[in-house]
Amino acid sequence: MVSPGTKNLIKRILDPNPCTRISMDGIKNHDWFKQAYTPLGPDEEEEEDCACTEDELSSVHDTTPEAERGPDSPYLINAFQLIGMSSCLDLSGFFENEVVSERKIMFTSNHCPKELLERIERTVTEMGFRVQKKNGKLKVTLELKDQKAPASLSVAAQVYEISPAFYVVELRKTCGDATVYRQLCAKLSNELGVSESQVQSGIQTGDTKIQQAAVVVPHD
Amino acid sequence: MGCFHSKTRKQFPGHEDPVLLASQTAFSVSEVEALFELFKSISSSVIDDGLINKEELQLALFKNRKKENLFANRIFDLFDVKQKGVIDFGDFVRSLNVFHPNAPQEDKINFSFKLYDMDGTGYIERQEVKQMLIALLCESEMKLADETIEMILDKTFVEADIDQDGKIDKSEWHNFVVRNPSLLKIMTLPYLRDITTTFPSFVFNSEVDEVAT
Repeated sequence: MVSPGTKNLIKRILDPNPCTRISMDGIKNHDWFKQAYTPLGPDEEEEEDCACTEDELSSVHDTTPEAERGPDSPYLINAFQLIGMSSCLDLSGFFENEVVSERKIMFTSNHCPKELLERIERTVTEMGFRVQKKNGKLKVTLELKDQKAPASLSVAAQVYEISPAFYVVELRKTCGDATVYRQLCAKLSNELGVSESQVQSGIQTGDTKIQQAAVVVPHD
Repeated sequence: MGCFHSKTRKQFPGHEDPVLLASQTAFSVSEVEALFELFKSISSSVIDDGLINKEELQLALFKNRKKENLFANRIFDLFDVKQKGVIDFGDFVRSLNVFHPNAPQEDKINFSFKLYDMDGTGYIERQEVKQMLIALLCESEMKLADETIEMILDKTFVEADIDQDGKIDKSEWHNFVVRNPSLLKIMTLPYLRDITTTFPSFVFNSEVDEVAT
């Protein structure tokens, strides 16, 4: 027996008229959906294979209300979230043959997120990649003409906000060729990485301090 | 069980009964045995003594036994439960247990607090967070001006350090994590759910009667 709520939702999804058919937001706001909905947990972010799925673009950040953001704005991160992005805190190394640093590359940028994502999309499309967008994140795939091999590279790109003028771009390889991945990351970071004026002011005011402070970091 | 002569107790000083470990953790008996396969390969990679030393941990995680860093040191210290300078099998299973998707939130919160409280004072001090941020930036080859780093710390501490004493105590950390659940993302390893498929060779080495599994 199907409940009236379910019937109503299904009917609205199957509406042959695209103008009156329920939208994704409508579905998410429908009572029945809200009752039955379990948000994705952190464990569901991991991808097992190279197949392009919607899940690969979802992450724990989608479902937590903490990030105050509009539909296209990046996730605001604090110091601990930034630290947590360290590949040295990632124990997946126990189970993967490739080192984490071969699978995840980050760079900082002053460009606003909208521009970052647009320019990433333009650059990768020129390089022959296919792009899928969801929730302000990009999924970049390169498909070989050879039908026997599935996507030879799959990368998820996400922008995080540290401050209104400062962003971190994370490029995570979900599967595929490491060399092509590194080439892609190098190109993007060269084009979009921290602008020269920032680097120069860093050198004048703070860079030497950073270098000195880095020496202080204890090694047991 | 009769066909296989078990050498495990002689070779592995910290080896514990898989059934006992399974009862104390979120792992099933077969999963504990699969972890034993993983443990064997890590613990024999540099010195074949049935224990994981720091180099072996670094080798397993970073494929580079010489790669020392702040975070790897903390992970090692926390996994080395008995503070002997080596990780035995029991330590290994119990520590990895915290990273299991089904492990209690409370355990993950406590582990992450200890992880970031580098000097073990019971507080996460601002200077410790700064050190970790700088380590992260160096590792990722990102450059940030000192003012930017201070700004990030200010914003974080305004939110986390409720009594504004310049350090985060356990209960402040607890509150902070509850408000920002993604902070615990690093505390879950989805791989642990499928460990028996990743390390299937345990099937041939099982010490446990089939009835028990």
